[in-house]
Amino acid sequence: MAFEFEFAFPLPLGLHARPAGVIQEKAESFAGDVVWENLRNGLAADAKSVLSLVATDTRFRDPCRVRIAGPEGAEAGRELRGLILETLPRLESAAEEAAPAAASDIPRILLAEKAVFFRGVPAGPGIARGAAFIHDPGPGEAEDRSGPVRSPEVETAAFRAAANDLAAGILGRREQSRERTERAVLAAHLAILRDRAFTAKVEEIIASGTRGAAAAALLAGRHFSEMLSASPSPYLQERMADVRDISRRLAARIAGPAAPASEPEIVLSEPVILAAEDLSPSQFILMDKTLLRGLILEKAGVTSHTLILCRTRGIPAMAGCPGILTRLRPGEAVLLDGGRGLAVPAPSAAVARYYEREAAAEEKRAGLRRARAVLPGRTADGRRVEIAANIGDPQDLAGALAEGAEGVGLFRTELLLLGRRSAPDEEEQTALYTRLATESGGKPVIVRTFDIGGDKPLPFLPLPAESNPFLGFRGIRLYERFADLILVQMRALLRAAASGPLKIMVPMVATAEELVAARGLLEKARAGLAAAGIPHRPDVEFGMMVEVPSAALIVDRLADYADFFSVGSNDLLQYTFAADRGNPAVRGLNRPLHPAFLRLLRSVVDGAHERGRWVGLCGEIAAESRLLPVLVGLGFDELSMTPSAVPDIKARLRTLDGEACRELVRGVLTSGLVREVEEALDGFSAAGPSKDGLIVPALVNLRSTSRTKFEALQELAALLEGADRAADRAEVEAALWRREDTFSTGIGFGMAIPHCLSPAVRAASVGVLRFENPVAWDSADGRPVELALMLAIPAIEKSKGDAPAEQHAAPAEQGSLKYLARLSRRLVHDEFRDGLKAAADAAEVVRLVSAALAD
Amino acid sequence: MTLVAVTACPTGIAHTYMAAEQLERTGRKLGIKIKVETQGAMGIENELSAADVRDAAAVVLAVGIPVLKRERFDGKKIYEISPQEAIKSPEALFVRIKDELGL
Repeated sequence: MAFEFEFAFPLPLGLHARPAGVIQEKAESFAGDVVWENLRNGLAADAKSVLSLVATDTRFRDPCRVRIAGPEGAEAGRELRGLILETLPRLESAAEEAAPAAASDIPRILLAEKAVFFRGVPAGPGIARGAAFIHDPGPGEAEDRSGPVRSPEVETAAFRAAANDLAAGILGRREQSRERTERAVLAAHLAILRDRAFTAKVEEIIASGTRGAAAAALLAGRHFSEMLSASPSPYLQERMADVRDISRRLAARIAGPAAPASEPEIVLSEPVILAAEDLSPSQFILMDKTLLRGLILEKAGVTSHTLILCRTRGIPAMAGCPGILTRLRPGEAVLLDGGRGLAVPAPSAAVARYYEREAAAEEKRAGLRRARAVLPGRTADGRRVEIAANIGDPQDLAGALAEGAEGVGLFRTELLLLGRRSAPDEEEQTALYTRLATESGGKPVIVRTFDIGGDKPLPFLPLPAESNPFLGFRGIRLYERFADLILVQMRALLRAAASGPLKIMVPMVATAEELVAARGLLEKARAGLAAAGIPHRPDVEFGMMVEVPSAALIVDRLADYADFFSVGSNDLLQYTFAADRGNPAVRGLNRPLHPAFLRLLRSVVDGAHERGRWVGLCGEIAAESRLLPVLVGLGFDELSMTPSAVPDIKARLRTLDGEACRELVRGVLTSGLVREVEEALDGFSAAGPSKDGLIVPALVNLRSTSRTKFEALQELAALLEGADRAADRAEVEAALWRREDTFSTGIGFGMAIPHCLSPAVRAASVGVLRFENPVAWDSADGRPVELALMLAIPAIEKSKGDAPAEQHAAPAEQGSLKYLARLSRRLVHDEFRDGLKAAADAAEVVRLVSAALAD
Repeated sequence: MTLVAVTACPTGIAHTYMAAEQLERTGRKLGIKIKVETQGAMGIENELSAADVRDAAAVVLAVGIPVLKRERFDGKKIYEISPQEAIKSPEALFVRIKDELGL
């Protein structure tokens, strides 16, 4: 019985070789034919062929239909649907998601110096300098490398032997590789090499008797790459490169070592910026990269496998800049700004100096980021709040720790189940959890047991269809019926906990009875392991998610059975307000600042603390910087969030006064309106930055070597970043320049007051530079500037209708605006300016400015 | 002689207040009474009343952007300059006003 389903394709980058490989592998496991149809363009494919799949030019959100023939129809269909909609989006690697940002502003110095530069698509951040090395692949591919055509049988055998040989080579390389992206690319190449349509095409050409095996491989490669290039999709053009790469290597393999190499090997003898029309992933993987400083690919798009490999190695790169090959002179110095997508040949001394300073600032930023990552989460007055990460894949652990996460507050295990025919067995789970436990470097990892239900169907868990899955059979409510599945998971967790600080947490608890039953399962798992003499940790901490109001109200009693609690605020919000968070008509009701919700959270925290239990929060609101004073004031011991939010939340936490946060929460718990809480919060934040916080010694450099306004604004943005007050240095610099564009901030008297309102500024700040040599600033009186005083203020974007977004001071900044207005007024007084110009050290500048603010 | 003034600049965080301070202190120095309204990032502060405007001999606008509520000054003698000018050479402005109004 055939089965079919329709869906919108979920991957932003379209159906390229890697996801196609995953689909092909799954389709291969079914007996019947699997047909993929793109309903947008009518192209259909055999899902057992990667190339055929890729050729459907399926893009993000294209309507598609998959049809599965044969006996397994329905079950196979559900499985495949789960794979496409659930598993694939999660497999897209981090390198790909780190899609290069839109090209930001061009550094003004390039325009001022009238520098020749090339713009491309930013494809790998960082700054590199090296000699231009133009890679010319030479004449086009030879039609035939194998001499006279032998009988089709002999040629077919030669083709198969070479294909097997090449596949073995790629497999071996893949096994050796420690890099996840490189392994994925090699797997995609393997899929092309073993592709049914590709193999059939080669053998069909050989059977015609006119071509030998090598020529047939090249022709088949050309056939498919032309098919792909017929599509306007840049993604497909990238895949064309992969197909050509493989067919050329295959042809070379068939021809044997005596034949000329299909691609000249790239040998570097000095540090270079390598420029090429394109570079195959194999060439990149095989070349010695020790002297490769940067990469420019004229034709490639950012999803090219070569560029993805480049990014994961931290090599600056740029793509998509037609014509650059003919305009760079081999051997000349080239600066590559990968983050902005700029290449500057033969940079002037001033441009080179600017970029040296840029590279130094970048290095400092990376160092500070590492140093800050190890700082514990703590308020200004020393109250400890652990800042942890939510992850669902052990691959993401290292990245989360590098961002500064102090542990994993939520590891979602249900992702292990998606797209599978059966649950992973105890050994597989033990291995995975052990990896988490050992790779966390002693930091706690809270593993949540399977949270599944009607909204996430699984082929091996027959669940009834429900009219309202969010109020239905899900989470811990399933554990009694599927006790075997949970028992296996708990055994695996107890075993893994022997090698590191794992904790176990159960989801969706509504009553104490459920919790007692889950504890019973844990006890049974422990007894089983003990009886069998299997090593494990018997006293693993056992906690629960607080997502249901009925549980939130009796946390003090639940503490009889739980060692810790973690609020799942996404669900707790929608259950509190009875508003589906997926329904745009009502989701606005789910206001985390509503007094009802705050009182509920207060009861959770108090209930836990009364019993000496630890309590965290792992919903989306943990990542909202604006809400942080409230969460801290409520008394949470831990906040767990998406890893990328960790640095910002930790930085904000360091500026907060824990006691003032408590006071704030005490004041709003009796409110009736969410608006009252919001106003109190804005008022609190406005009062937050004290006038003393506006300037610190780290924001002062009295020996600035900046020689130009370009360097001075660059240095001021870097000072702000160095003081932990800028989220994006380049954006602050650009914002300072946007202000200079209206009219120069050189006010005369040898002084300039560059300033900006920008969302990239984290905290209102005053920065001061005193120049060793006065800097020209287009000042009102034509005098060069001895002293620059920067005012930087956090802003929010406001858009009105179709008008471009305007930046306004954040409402919370009224307090700092008042101080800065006061400071500005002081600046017209000669004695104040003279005092700053003559200050002996940074501390004196801080003192003078603080005194002016206090006037 | 009394004057009224409005200061405003694009970002509204620096020149607005510097110009205001400069106009006020120069007025004090020269013995000319001047009330200055600022239109900055904090909104309108020290707002000029109808009586302030009525009693003023002239209006100084030290602005780099359009002034809010400009119609208040209809029919008054207006001296419009940039905030930079007000910061750099305020005395010249006062001297010019004195000369032209014959005070």
